[in-house]
Amino acid sequence: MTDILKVENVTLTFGGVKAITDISFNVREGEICAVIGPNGAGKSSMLNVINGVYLPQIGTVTYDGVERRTINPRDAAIAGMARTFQNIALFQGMTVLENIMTGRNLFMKSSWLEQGLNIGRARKEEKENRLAVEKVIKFLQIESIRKTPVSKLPYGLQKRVELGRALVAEPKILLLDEPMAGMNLEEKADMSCFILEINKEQGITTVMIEHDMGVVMDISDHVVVLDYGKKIGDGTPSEVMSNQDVIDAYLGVSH
Amino acid sequence: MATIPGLVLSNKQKSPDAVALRYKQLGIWNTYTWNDYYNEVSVLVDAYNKSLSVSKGTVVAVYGNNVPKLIFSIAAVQTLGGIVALIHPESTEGELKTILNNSNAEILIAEDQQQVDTFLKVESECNVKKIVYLDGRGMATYDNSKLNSYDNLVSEAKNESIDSMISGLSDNEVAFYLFDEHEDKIYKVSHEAIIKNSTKISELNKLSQNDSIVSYLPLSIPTNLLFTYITSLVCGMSFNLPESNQTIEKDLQEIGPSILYAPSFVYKHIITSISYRIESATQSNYDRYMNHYKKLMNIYEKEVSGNKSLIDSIQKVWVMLTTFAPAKNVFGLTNIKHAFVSDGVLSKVNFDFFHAIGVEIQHSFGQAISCGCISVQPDHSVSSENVGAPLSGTEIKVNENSEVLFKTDCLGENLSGEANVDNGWVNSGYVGSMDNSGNVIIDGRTEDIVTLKSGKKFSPESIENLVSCSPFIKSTVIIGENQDSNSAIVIIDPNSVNSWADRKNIRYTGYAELAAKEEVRDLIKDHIKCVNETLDDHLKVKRFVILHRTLIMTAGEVSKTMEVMRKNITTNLNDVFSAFEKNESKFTVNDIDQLTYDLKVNEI
Repeated sequence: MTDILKVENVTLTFGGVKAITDISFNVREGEICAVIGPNGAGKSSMLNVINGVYLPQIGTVTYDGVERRTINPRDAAIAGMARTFQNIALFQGMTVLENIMTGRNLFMKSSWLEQGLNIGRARKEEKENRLAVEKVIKFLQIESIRKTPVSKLPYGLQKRVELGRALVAEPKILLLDEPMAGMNLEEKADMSCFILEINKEQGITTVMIEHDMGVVMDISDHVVVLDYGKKIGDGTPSEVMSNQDVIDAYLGVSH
Repeated sequence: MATIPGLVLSNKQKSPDAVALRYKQLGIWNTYTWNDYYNEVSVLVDAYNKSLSVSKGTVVAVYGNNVPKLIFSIAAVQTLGGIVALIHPESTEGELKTILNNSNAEILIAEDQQQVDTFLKVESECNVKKIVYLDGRGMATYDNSKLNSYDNLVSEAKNESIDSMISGLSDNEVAFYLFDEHEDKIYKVSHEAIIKNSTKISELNKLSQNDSIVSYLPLSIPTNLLFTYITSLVCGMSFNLPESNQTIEKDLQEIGPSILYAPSFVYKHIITSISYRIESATQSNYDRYMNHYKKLMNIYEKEVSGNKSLIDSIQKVWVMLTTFAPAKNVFGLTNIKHAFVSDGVLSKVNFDFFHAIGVEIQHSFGQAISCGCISVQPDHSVSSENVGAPLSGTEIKVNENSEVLFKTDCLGENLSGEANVDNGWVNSGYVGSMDNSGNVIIDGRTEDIVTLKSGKKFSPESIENLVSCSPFIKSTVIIGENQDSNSAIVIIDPNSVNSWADRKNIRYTGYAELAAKEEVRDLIKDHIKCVNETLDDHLKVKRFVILHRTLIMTAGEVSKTMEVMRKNITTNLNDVFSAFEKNESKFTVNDIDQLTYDLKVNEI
């Protein structure tokens, strides 16, 4: 299997604070890669570097064979990267359907005027894109809340809607920032099933930041462990679990 | 008489472009005309014949919710002379195994991964040779040679005329194996019997092609099979399938069917939904609703007794226009001409409410053995007690032990060959009586009859019905066997009690905590007190417990139509029963989830 994503010697600093120090890892095509680590380890920053929100001072990211130091988030999306956020970033006043529809923005070529008046290309596009959105709604089993404003939904369902919005962009690689944070057991089980199905049946490579070790060990193929901005482990779940540095980082060690 | 595939053919010949089936998928209602229906069945006939070798007498188990693929499969299997054994999509491994083995099913048509997974757990103990799954989602990684995808089978099949196959079928052949979960028995039902029974119902109620019906529940429920699926075929009316179980309310509103057929819990759910919406409405809307509700019920009482004045009529138009017509529309009840209740009776309060808003409730009664129905209330009936008069060709009598016996020309046959007919009379397993006008009154199941210490006997279901009529109560289990007085296990309705608690500013974290709240206890207590006033002294409920959870279908505590299954509840909640016996005021329950809960017995 080829590497779809290569992160090479990336260092990211905010003023004097080093968020990420010289990190390299590869994500193979079709795998579920989990990035784990204690709070402040630099996980979300890593994701932001990958899809171009942050510009690293040193190092490169090679995605789909193209090496680069910087990419505009919109270009990243066009190149097939979709993501969700740690703190849900949905349009709270809009319905589930409308929110997910925004994920199809990239596929719409009609002008805002055509869209506003619902004429010309906009009509046809609306139909095609709506079909794609409905397929995702069915997949995520949220038919019953299709027309509900997002602000009225419980947290777990909002996370699902966010995943839906990322999925309709038909990504090659999906970046999930803590998809199961704040969920109960049942919601976590549902979310794990969705992630597995997305990966195994639709073949979408997934990079996921997650705190729940049970979930990480169960569903991921590859785990990268960060601590204080440095990589301390990289391998299969079982390899990482037996890595002394990782154990020390998680359980603490006396100095 | 016709066969089920024969009805598809005749509907196609009579009105090829009329709507046969509507199914909501990806947010859009898809329509199949009778012509489409016939074509889908023809393709399937070829597929099932070639790939699964379904032939005359092959038993095919159909395990899933109502989706078009499953509906077409039924007609296709029967065209090939096969017998369809219907299995509820939520059936557990045990039930599935029983039905598959007793019916000797060779082929299983499963809806999706959930059903396939359940089957694979009992695979080694069954004789099933091939499985067809209708929805391929999640199935990519399965590696079992028995598995076939519906879509694959269909893509290899040809659309050939099946007219001659259909005309070669005989109507006295077995069409279905129906499972009666109360009796744990399977009944054989012929094409002739079930179609005849459906014809009786449609003639009695003048149902026609212009009607439409929504199927709420899986077809594996015998009464539902008869009233929805078979009746839609007999009348050539449209059969509507909701998108999913969670979207039923919205889908009903969009379809606006003219016939509703559902068990009593669905009607109760409508009332509860109205109630919790009202509880969370603004104060002015709340007051208006309450005021209009009182007015409406007052006018209805006068209407029934024939004292309605002109002012009453005007007032009724006003309250309907401003309050109840919009409410009816939300639940898709605007076009309803007939609202059939499948399992016994609604409580008087609920029955009267529906009649007052113009939804004509008609009780019906029947089981698998009687092809789903032996009696149904006529249109415009105003009695909430009976389940109507026997259908034509059916006789009902009550013997000296109050057991309800019936004789019908549409009889199913026990698969195990066990005789259940005595001189043409079949024991329904229920006790009841007949009123002066020849209507049947059902009190409850014979096996459930309770004998108090005083020797007095009664059917707990009638009291449970009364207690459960509150929108705050989901279900009730009355316990009285060998005791001085009646006690009740009350299961609160999470939705309506939630809204009520929010309104009262009561804080809680989950169901168990809400159920244990002092205020909720008082709410239930007040309701039971009101119920007690209408009951004879020996029947009054003296103590009750609010359960920390709802009853669980997969643990067999409620039936597929939400009826209380007393036997399993007694086993699962044995601690509650013994606490009542020992007269304890506080006790601990070791529940089936291996956790313990502290409950309190409340005296009234």
